[in-house]
Amino acid sequence: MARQTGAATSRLSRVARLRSWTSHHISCIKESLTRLLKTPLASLLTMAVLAMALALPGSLYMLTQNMIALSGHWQTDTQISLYLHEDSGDLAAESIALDLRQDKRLVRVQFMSRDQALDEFREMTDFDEALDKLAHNPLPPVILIYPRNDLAAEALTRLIEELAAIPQVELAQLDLEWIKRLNGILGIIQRSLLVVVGLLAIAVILVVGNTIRLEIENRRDEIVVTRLFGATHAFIRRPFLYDGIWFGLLGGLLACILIYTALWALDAPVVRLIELYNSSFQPIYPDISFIVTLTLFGTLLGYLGAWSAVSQHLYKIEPE
Amino acid sequence: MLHFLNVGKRYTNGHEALRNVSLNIKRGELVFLSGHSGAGKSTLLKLIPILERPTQGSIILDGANIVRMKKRYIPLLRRNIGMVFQDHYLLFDRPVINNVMLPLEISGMDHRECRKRAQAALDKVGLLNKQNHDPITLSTGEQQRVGIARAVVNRPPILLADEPTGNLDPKLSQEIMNLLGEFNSVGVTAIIATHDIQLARRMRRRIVILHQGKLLETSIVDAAPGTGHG
Repeated sequence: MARQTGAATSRLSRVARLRSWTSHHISCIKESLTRLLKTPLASLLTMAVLAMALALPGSLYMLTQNMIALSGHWQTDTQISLYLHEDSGDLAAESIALDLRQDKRLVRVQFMSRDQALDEFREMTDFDEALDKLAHNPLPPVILIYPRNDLAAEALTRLIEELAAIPQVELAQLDLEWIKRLNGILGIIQRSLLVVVGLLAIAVILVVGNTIRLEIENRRDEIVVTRLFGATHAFIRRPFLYDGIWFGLLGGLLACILIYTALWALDAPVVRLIELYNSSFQPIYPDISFIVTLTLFGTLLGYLGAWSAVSQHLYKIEPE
Repeated sequence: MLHFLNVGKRYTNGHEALRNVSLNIKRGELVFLSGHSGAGKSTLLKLIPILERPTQGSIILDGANIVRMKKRYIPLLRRNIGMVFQDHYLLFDRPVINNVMLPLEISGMDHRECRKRAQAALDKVGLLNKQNHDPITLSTGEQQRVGIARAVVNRPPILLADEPTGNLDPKLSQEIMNLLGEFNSVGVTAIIATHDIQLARRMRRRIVILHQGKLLETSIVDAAPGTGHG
């Protein structure tokens, strides 16, 4: 096309185009934020809805993380009791205990002689008289074993099998059933967390989508005029996508604040409860990677919400 | 430069806005489209930036038939066409200068350069002193001049104006027409739709009259066709 006056656009170099593309992005980012701040109440309400929708799965996630940590913590208190054969002597038992102390899977091995076992039994029960009537100590020597807490369930099972296979061992007892049940419950909670995340993610997309749809309606004139003067789809949708990104980003940050506030409110009673159990358990608080992940997740959902609104409504607006 | 060949436009509701229109417009020409309202002036103008597509015939712009132009090329086509509207379509949420800068921003020009060119365009329509005003505070005539500045700011080879004086009194109308004539005189091909045939006659240019969608007559009043000189 030979044009005397020429179109200014076609003569722009590639570098200039890239520069202007970047500067349009930057100005869209700024203008979008300015627009949100211009209607602070409306923006805050939208962000509050987003924050709540994001905070709910976020705090559920923190809850399960704490429960997982707590169940692991309880596992450290797990002990395996090795009851030896009644006729095995304390010496034999002590040598087994010595051997076991070499085992790297174990944290602590405590030997309890027949007499110690009897003393403890006396202390814990009122069978004093009955025990006195017995001709000899009926209790076997016991070895108490504390496995490392980072052992997986299978490793723990294998350990017990090995221990039970020692000839002098009558019974290797470990009560893991309740931990298995707890893990089962945790599994259900984690699965339902996925469902909750899915549902609330859709809610966030819908809320952002609706907000952007209204914004598109409000700026119909601008869209028509820019389209008349040759704006591309990308140019027109860019500010709306940034609106969605800002909503998601700020909503995500607000969600983090909500979660922190909730944890702060819960802190005192939780500490008291832990003290009651005399436990050394340290509750897990959201760290920087949690905040970043939640905020990025919110941003992504905001973007998707804006995209859905734009793809549904923007292209319907044509100059007449 | 611009050829309409047997162009017809029938809207989906059955209304036939244009019938078998053939028209040649040369580079640098200024053409008035006239006729009663509903004669098809606006429809004819809308076919050029593909705001509407004809149902029949072809439109050749710079040697290319734009009738079947793919949607994604339409923005680039429109950047080469300046448009002035009766309702001027100014955006009231931003100052005058930003309205004028809009087509340049769309074409991806550097912000500072945009401002400079927009100021030059506003200077040409005599409104540089009002660049930072809100468009709503301007008079109707001034608003239309801002609309013209915006239409010519990226120096398009073609300028379309649809009833640019529709809301103005005769004196202002004449001013606007003179202004459009000035842009034509520097080489811009201009097509102006107006129902005010007296005003068009006074401009002494080619006048194309439409009646019920048909090309009725092409008359030249006191000027050679296509001289492009005002």
